[in-house]
Amino acid sequence: MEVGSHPIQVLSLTTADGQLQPLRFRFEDEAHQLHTVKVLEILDTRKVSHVGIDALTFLCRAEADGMRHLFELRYAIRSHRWNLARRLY
Amino acid sequence: MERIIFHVDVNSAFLSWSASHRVNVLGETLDLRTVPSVVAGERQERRSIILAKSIPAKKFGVKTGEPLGMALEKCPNLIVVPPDYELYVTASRALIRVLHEFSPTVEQYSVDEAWVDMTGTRELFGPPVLAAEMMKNRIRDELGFTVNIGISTNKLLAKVASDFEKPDKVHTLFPSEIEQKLWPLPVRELFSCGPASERKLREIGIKTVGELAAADPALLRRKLYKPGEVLWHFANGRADDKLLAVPEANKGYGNSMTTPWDVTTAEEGRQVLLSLCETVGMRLRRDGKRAALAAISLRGTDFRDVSRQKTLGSPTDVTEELYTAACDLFAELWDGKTPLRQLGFRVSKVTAEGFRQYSLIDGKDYARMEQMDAAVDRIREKYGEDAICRARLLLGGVAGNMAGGLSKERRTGVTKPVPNE
Repeated sequence: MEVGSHPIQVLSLTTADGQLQPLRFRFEDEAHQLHTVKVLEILDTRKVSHVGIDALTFLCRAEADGMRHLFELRYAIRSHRWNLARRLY
Repeated sequence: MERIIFHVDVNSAFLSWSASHRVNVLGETLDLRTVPSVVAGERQERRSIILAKSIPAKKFGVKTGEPLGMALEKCPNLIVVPPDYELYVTASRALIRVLHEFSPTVEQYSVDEAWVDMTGTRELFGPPVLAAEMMKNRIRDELGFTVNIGISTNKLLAKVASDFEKPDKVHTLFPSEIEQKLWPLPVRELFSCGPASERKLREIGIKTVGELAAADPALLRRKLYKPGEVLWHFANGRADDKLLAVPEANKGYGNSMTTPWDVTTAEEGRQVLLSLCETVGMRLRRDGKRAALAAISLRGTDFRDVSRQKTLGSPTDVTEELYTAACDLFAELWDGKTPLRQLGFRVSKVTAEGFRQYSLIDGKDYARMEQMDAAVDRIREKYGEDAICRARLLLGGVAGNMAGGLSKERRTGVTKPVPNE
């Protein structure tokens, strides 16, 4: 499991009733290579409010460079920023 | 029905909030709460002081309020993080929001402390200790920081209880437990017993709360006056403390300033006072209040404090009028020789009534002055405090155009509303 938050670029869908769904995201690794990741399935969405900062977390099964991973993405509601919170495998 | 009051106190608030933010939001692996760490000003500034410490830092003898340099001597590996006031406000608001889900009556005492009136909530949340456990765990799991909750039948005892063993604990201090839990404590643990009261009590041989409770109230009144008797009631667990869900109105307004260099001329002194009057006047007008009593205080380089007050002709919120009173007091109070390091201006006897007693003698047009103040306030509100200032404050530069008070980033509006938010 890798932890440590990385800012990411996200292509997302907002449904008519206000639900947010990440579709793809792109992050820069330590070697400054860009990786585009396709979200295959959102397993869990929940609202968190650590230290009063409201955010949505998405547990996603996703494919990056031909490999499947489980990622946790976080969307901070007030700042509108996406972060890759951790990669579970 | 038995009154039930909770006192909720965030464990090392600033440090917890910074630590939780780093772990839960920024995704750092190191939790500051598990290592010796402090929240303090910039590391370079040797003058900066400790605002909050972790429990491991406490074991090294690091104290809140001591200079950072001294703390680093005790613990060279101390991790120092800067304060983030914006984060603390967000966290504080979130805490109060959660508390409001338990009870409509919440009195916020400071940025990290609040009382909650839980009277009559047994059918909703269960008996008090279980309800407090639930509240504490919810805050920990949802917001990512821990609190202590003290439970009793009044605010005073609840506050003492929340200060027992930390962190992440619930304690009770019901009147039946006073003898066992409160009386063995040293008197300084008692709410409102400061170092001065502690010293006076020690002089008459009182060291613990129990000894204070057993003392003769007449003796205490002689030694410590009215506060002595209040302390005696507190030591016996008696306090008439209503929960104030709406903050009490200000009884007075005051600001002071430690000048960048010592003030040695009357002109410089008056400049500082004018700048302070601007701040106090604006605060009065913002709250729609007028004051009938003005006072100044001076601290010389010998650290001796002197003060003097006078009643104004009519309650006022006009800066010019406050300044005239301040100048009169300054002329009477200052010997013209002692260099001054701090000047303060304060008003009290505040009313919300808008009428004015005109004077036949001074012949000043106060209505016009009020209009001018209102115009200046509007300009400052719209374009910032530095948008307009009195010409005489441009010269000399001993004080800015509005001296005193907290710096902008620290005016958070948690304990008092901030306008234009």
